[in-house]
Amino acid sequence: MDISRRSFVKTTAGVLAGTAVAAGVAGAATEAGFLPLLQATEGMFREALAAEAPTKTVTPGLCHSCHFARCSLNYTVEDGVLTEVEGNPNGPWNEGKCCVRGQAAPAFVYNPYRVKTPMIRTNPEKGLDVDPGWVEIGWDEAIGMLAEKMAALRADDSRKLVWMHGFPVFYNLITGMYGIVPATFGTPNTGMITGALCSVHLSNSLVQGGFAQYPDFAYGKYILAVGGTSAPNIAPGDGATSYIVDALKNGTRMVVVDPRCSPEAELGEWQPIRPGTDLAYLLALINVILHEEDRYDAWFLKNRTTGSYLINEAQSDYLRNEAGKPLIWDSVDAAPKAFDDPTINDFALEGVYTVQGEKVSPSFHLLKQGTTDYTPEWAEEITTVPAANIRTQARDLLDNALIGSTVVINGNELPLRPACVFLSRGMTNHRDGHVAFWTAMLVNQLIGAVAVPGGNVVASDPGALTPDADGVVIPENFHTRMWPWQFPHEMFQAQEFVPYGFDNAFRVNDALLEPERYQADYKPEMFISVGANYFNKAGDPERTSAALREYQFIATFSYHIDEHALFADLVIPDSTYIEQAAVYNFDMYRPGHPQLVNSTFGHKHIIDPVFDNRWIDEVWMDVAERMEMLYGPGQLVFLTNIILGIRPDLWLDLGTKPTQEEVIDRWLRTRYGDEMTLDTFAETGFAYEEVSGDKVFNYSYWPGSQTRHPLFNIYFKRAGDQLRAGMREAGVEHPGWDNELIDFYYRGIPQWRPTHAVETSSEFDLLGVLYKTPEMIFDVSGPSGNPWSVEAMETRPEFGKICLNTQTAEKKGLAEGDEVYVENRGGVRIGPYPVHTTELLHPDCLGIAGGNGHVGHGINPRMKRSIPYNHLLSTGWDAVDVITGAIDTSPRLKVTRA
Amino acid sequence: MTTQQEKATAHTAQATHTKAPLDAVTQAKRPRFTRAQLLAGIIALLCLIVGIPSWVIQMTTVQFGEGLVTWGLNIDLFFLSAGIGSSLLAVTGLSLFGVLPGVYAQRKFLSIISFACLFVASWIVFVDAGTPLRVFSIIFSPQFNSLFVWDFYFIALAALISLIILFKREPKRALGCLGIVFGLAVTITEGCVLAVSVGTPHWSLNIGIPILFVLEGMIAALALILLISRVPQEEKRLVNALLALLAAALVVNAVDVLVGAYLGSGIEATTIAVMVVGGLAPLFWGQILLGLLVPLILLAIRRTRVSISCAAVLAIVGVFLGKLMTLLSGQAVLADGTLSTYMPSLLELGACVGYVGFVLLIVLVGMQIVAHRAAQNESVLVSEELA
Amino acid sequence: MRYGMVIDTSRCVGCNACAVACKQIHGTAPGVFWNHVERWEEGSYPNARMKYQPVMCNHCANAPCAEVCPVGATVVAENGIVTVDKERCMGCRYCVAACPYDARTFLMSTEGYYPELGIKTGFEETKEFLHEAGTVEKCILCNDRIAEGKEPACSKACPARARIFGDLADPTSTIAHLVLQHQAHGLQEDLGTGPSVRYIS
Repeated sequence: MDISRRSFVKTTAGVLAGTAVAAGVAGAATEAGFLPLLQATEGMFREALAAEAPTKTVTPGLCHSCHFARCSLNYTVEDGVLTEVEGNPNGPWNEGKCCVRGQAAPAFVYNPYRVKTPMIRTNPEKGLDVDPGWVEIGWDEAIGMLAEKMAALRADDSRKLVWMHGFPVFYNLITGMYGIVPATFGTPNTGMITGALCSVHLSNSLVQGGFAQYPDFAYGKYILAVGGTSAPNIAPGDGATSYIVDALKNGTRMVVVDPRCSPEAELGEWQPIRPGTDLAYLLALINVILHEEDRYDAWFLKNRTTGSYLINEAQSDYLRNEAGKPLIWDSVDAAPKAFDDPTINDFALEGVYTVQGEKVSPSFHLLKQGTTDYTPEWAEEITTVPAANIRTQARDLLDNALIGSTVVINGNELPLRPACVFLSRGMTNHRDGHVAFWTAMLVNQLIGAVAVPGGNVVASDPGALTPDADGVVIPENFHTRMWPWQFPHEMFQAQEFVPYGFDNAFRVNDALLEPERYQADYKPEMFISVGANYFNKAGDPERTSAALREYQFIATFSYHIDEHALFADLVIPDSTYIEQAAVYNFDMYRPGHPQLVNSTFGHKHIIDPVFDNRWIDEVWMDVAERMEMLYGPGQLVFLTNIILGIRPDLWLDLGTKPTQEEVIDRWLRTRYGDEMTLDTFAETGFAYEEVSGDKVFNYSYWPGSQTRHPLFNIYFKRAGDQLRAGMREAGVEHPGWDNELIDFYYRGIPQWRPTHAVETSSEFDLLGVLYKTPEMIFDVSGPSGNPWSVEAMETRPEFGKICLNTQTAEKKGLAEGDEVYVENRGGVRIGPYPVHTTELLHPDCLGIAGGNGHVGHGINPRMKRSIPYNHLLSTGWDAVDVITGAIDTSPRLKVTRA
Repeated sequence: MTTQQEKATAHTAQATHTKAPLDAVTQAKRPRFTRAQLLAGIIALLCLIVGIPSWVIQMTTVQFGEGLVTWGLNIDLFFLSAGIGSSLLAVTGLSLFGVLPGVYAQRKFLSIISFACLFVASWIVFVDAGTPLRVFSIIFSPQFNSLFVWDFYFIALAALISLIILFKREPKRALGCLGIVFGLAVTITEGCVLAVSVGTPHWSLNIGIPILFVLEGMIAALALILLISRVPQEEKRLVNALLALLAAALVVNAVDVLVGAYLGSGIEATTIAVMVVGGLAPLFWGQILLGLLVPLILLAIRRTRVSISCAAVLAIVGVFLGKLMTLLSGQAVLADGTLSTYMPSLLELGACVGYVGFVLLIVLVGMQIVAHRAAQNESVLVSEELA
Repeated sequence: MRYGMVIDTSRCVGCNACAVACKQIHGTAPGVFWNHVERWEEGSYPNARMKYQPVMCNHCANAPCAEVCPVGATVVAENGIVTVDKERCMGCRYCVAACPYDARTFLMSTEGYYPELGIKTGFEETKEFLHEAGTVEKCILCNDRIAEGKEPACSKACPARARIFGDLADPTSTIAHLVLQHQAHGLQEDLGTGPSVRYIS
């Protein structure tokens, strides 16, 4: 080609210029008009589309991304898709706030790993690593299958159905916590699998008639939090977090006794302790209070506890007069009198007296005697809490309790005790954990800090402190049940062996594998799991797998494929709370607000089911209809009316199949009056009554000496005696405990003996500690599979890692990032996982954040990033808490390099 | 004709008669491609076979190296290419003043390389951008508060000046002046692009970076000239200059590290640690030793063809590594103190291989055009003489 | 008018509500947090604690990112909010290097959270239009919510009430009072960026 220089330059210049002009025009057009034009066009197009589709709606509703479920959120829905979730400013608890769990709700709903439609397994082999060979089936076939099998079983022996439910479904009235379906079916074998992690209700209920205890932050100035989370650790949106932060910044002291330095310990003060030794710590506190300081709330003990009640020589009951009333010793008249005798001048708290031929003492005296040896030095050996600290903490409790002071609220004078011990699962889920809980409530009684301003309180309830014939808070209520001895046993799992057992659901598996030890005369054939999971809420994965294989048919109602689903013959998709009508009522004391009672949160409709899932209450009504369990007296509709306490004139018609909405509507109108239809309720998303001022504190309903808290634990004693008597009569042996053990713990005054927490083991030298993080609590909304929750967790240095105190790691020759296996004494091994070294953990501990890990074939891979801590827990009789049968959450572990 | 131009012409005539394989194009009867050119052509082709698909994938799917570093190999090549191109232009511009007659004789060849490097540098920006088509906004709505824009325009101007020097038979001194100015402007601006980046303390606390960029550009340019051109008359001076530049670069590097180590805190101190004894240490010491110290020693003790060539190659590689070092060290430590990571992806490597091929291609095409023109001009000259 | 935020780190419990609220409202990509919480340990056992510092774009008055943007995609608005016009951004990442706070993210992909399944969820599809691969994005101080009279998602969410949003230029605003009362400082103020996010500790 002939290219002269001139022509080349000319051509080039021409091309360049031309390009420049063209581009310039394009650019100018772009800058000046074209791009905006395009954008405007696009905007108009969108608007046109939007105008045809449903407009954006904002609906208030409940949040059930954790189990507190007291937050009201605003759900924004556009074109049927949930696009935004934020706090409802009108929410009475959360006032517009929404925690990390609620914020993750859209990812919870729109999760492609959800079970989308009913499925059956085609591979008969069952195991965690086995492919079930899922085949999708239609709803009609699924319901038919379930109905047919259940009908046949019910005709045979309805006890052969084991039904386990859990937190995730509690916003359903029929399929939720009330257990209406298994009650209708006629099986006693039901429970809540998470219950065994919940050893936090019994003593609280026995002492002050409430479900969960809490420190009063409104008046409290000194809180000794032992193994408990008050709020900041998990940062719920319900107002408690900011209220407590305010309180702590304004001078309230919170000493957090915990193996791990938590956010609350950071806000307050951290007192490290060896896990599972809290009983020793608390006994030492009592020792200091009674033996060194010799200070206590005598008035409270005399007038509002059984501290002055004389205990019989056998220490099995109060010493009673002929009328059966408990006796006290009048120290002025030097004579025994009935506790409510109007002539009493003064109650003796100490002394040995001969009454009715027995040498007896007031229970306070027995407590004082019984704690003589539990010195701070003794406790230091066991707990690693320095003796000086124990003394300081006891003194601080006493000093801050302002014993004898009062406060006038709403013109009513109440005792003021701005100090208390507060506790939770961290303390209670150990071998002697519940005895520790009881002991903590003893400390509170000694300083008069129960049910009063500043003290340890429960939800406001006029009936909570109702006294029984002995003048003591009634020990039986919704939250407390002592299983009476029955033989043959009431339940397949022979719950009678743990009289105060709280949902020892895992024990069914033991009975399946070793029926002779539980005197079973039948074998369950069907297992239905609704929002439950043994593997990550109980322990012993191998045993659990073996037990599940014993069933002939398993049906699970599952949000996603998890361990239970992997053993299922039929999997039914669960709906999330956002895809259905939902209501949740659960009152607890929460700091920072007038207290809500009779409160319900919920909604009627936010979005339609995203997949082929249905509302499970309606699924069960269809199943019941198909198996002729729905209509007529004694059947599902009938029991729904009864169990939900529906007002008689609002009863659902026994011959009609109701919708879930209708059930909710009747229930709401029963609770709040006829104006509160579901539609009305749905406008705000909540209904409640308020209690404030003095009525917040249950003391105000039963002031003075109108009721008493139990100081001497005749309940444990009775339970132990009942258990031994029952076994003797039936001629059976306890499957795991001997009488000596039962006698040691089931008694009126607590005592301590070594547990695995204080063993010196060169091999299993670490104690496991699992702690919640805000993203991962309760596993109610599948956080370990929620990509946002997992990513948020990944910003924590400890996520997915084995945490060791820096020095402990050094001694083991381990450094940050080294891969290790973790093993328990039962031979269960998990890992490998990387080590994370930290200063925020007791040196004896192995810490895991969040837990909630899942395993199994084909599960959402994200779920595997969390560590399945519960695999390391044992449900063995030698491991569980001796009062409630709760699982010990701090097993002895060892690490080995991978 | 001026004396200078006479001289230049004489030199050119002389040059024509010496055995310089790359000048063979001036003789119409010689083969169209030399062996070296064929080899370069094959290399270019192979490079582009790898490069073009890499560019296409990179531009359509937005992929980069693994890790948290956003300016990696691509930008390293950009700075290298622009640095060589602009510094070559500066040296060529200087030669128009008659002080480097050997370089002057090679000016067309060097201008082709200069243009190729500058053009490919712009191309790299285009490929590297997350949304390449919007790069044109630099032309149509430039934000002159950004030094990036200034750099772009300086590169464009430098490329234009290279072209003019290429095609002007007797480029004037004024052009040489422009060449020096814009040649240096590119490297200075690029250094300043890093130096004004407030978010990168290692760049912004370091006055040495613009200086270093100028030095590195000149090192690469001189090394390239020594490597592929025949300039026996000036070889000694060029080698001395290269030596001095290498020494200066060593000093600047040392000052950078020492100042950062003793006066820097937080991120800067961590960065120096990472550079000298941490994850970047192999790269850092590699480029100091292989890229600066070894060539410096080689040139100082021995100046044979082989040792000069070796030193030149090492020096150019040293500049490549040095700019990578600058980039990575600046991005090594995040705002929260954690260390970032970087591993070039295969795609990035492919793209970079492509850039090299593209430069080779443009140079080869450019040489063909020039040869063709020269043959034509000679015919014209002959015919003029005949006429 | 100059919108800003005060963050009280003595109240922050590191719960990540702000981080996930932001992610939810804006539908950010995997691994991208426009808002996150820095955490680190201080002290040694048993006198140790974790410290928390939520960080976000500081919406600097003298934003280095706006200075270096070659195409004018990053601008500091009248109300102090620094935004990126994703229609203009060419993805050169100069701003990413220039930001002292690592507040900007170069978005490489919009394939969503489930690439292993090759799908985008219904929710992700509704947020698609907010992002473009190959551009840089960051916290926008929820300027779209502010326009509707709401506060940013992060401060709205915070259960500990550790974030307070407001107009720094309004001397009567809560945020201005807090800044004065606590001498709330910005991060790396010596760089002269003029951050609109101030910290109380």
